[in-house]
Amino acid sequence: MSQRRSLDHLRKVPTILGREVVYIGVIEGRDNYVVHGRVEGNCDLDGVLLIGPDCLWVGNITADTVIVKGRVEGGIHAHFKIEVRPSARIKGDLSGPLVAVAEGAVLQGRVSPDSIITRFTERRTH
Amino acid sequence: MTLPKFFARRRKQRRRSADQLTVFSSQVGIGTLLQGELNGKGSYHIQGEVVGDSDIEGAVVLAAGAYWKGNVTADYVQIAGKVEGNVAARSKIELTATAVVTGDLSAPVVAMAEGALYEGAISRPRNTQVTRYSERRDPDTTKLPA
Repeated sequence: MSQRRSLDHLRKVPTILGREVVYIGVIEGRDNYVVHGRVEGNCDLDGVLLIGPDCLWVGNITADTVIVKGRVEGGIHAHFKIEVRPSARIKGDLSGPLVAVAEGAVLQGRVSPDSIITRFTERRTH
Repeated sequence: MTLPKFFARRRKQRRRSADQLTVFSSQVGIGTLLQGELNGKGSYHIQGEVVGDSDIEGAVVLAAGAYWKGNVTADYVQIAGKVEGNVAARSKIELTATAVVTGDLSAPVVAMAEGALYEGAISRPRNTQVTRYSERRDPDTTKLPA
């Protein structure tokens, strides 16, 4: 079993926002999050944030690890790592110590100069 | 167990609206604070804290320990936590024994367990039916799917 992706270490997700959720406001918390719906606002999380393939997030994101599969309009700041998957569409700047970008992802914005950028090709099916 | 008894028991276990909920499309975990407007469809299981108003097409279950400040509007609302604000449901409101509500309740059917606290009025859109019941179920069987 592979261990390299952030999702491989994810054990428990106490907060899930479903597909048909529309949330306008601020999210704060200290655990792992999965968002499939639409969010307008900023967040400050201590944990992993997974932005699902159908998600649209408008606003700035701060978390330990951010995995993007959907659309984000706003800046992303990670304390540890940002993973940009092939289906991601990001309009905004990325900053964090590690940034991994998959082939096929669309990135409109800058990546902060002090982050280590890894490019990878998605070979996994999930 | 005799057959009629078996059916009676089955019927009983389906009377609460939460008995029909199996999977929640959205969950808010312990330690999460949502500050803003929550709208949309689906069923919500809330264990954390929400400050703001909501208008949800579906069910909202506030677990014990959850806190909601603001107005809640949904099809079905079950409260085991604390609410400061008005609660409106299009079909039913259920207060379990641990519920604490400061605000008005408005729904066609309001069910209240013995031990539930509320301060406020029950408004009657069309002759609200208020049911008071004492909790006889084992706490383990009333537990919702995680």
